[in-house]
Amino acid sequence: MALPRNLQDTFSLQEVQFLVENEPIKIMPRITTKPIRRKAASTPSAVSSVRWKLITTDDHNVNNMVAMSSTEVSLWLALLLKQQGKCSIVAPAWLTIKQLDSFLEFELQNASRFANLPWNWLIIAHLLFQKAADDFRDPVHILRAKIQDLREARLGKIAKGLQHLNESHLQLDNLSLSEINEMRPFAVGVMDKLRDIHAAAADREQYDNDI
Amino acid sequence: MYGDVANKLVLEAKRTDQLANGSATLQLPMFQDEMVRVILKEVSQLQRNAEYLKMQEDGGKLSKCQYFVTMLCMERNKRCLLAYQKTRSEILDAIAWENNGLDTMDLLSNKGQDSGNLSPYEQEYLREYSQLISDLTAGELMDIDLAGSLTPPSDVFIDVRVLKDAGEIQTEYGVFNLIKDSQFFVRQADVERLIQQGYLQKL
Repeated sequence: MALPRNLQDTFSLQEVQFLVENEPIKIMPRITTKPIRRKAASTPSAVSSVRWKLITTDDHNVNNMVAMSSTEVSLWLALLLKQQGKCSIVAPAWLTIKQLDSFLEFELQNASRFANLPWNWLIIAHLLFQKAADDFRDPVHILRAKIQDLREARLGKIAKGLQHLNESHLQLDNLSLSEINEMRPFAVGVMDKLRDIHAAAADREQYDNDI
Repeated sequence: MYGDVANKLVLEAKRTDQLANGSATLQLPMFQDEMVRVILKEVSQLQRNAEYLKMQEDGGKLSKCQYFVTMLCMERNKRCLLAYQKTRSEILDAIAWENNGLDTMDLLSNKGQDSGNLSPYEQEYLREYSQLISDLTAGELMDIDLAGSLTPPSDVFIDVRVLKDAGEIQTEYGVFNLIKDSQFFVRQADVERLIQQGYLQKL
């Protein structure tokens, strides 16, 4: 087949990351791309001449960056600029010790619910820790530990939730994309089987009643 | 009993499937010519039986039952043969997509080590399927490298190390001098094919 079997019924981790990289994020640029309107003292031709322009499909912000004034671009671009030292990434509001602590508390107190983390928290945290570790206000090793704690708390709940798998539905509020992605093949497979069995039993009953 | 050989063939198909999807490189074991021939012989025998039963045509319940069971045996054999062939053809498709879409279209002849394992029909099928793929990639979708890597791009520039000597290789974007154990810092899009072919290792 054109599509390898391991990609046929779920996303790979890289694909999830690719999806997440389309999200906007705040950055502090260190370069200015906004066309500077100089006072036309010397020559009229120098007025607002655009020297170069970044052509992208959807970011009008890219061409209006002013150094050290925050703007919003998509994550992949932010990471690219960060790699070259042309911006610093502003950590999202939920990625602070205080906020993570409150999430963690929620996780520990509510055994049957998941905290309201953003749908891409795991990937975002991973990417930012990896590539923008110097941009955090809080020490990164503590943030890492908190993320790990959250992950483990949620993993426990997911494992517990799997015993409620049934043939009709499953409610997964606030579960993030990567967490859903890793349980998808198992949960979908089991639910399909259960549904098949139930449907066959229902058919049989119908058949018996008809006779 | 009828259908026993077909069962063996299905087991073989299962093994083929696991062999192909368990290992990193796709490979296809030998086509089970012998078994297929035995099954086909069995089917023609069943067919003779059926014709004979039809000729009798006494309309008794007994001959009707015999006729039906004969048909069922044939159905079973057909199903097993098709399952085996379908398993193999899916692997062939995967091979075609993985290798033949690459810039050297003559890989088919290069991959000669496999062609001994294919039946003549499968060889023809593989050739024509590769042709279909190249038709597709040469059509209106030419801008997209349909047979290219399916992992989303993450880094624009990557470090690669040369794994085996290849001399001077011309890619569409320039010339590389690939000496073993040398290292390059290149655009990923330029070397993706060479990585797929195993000349380069991504670092």
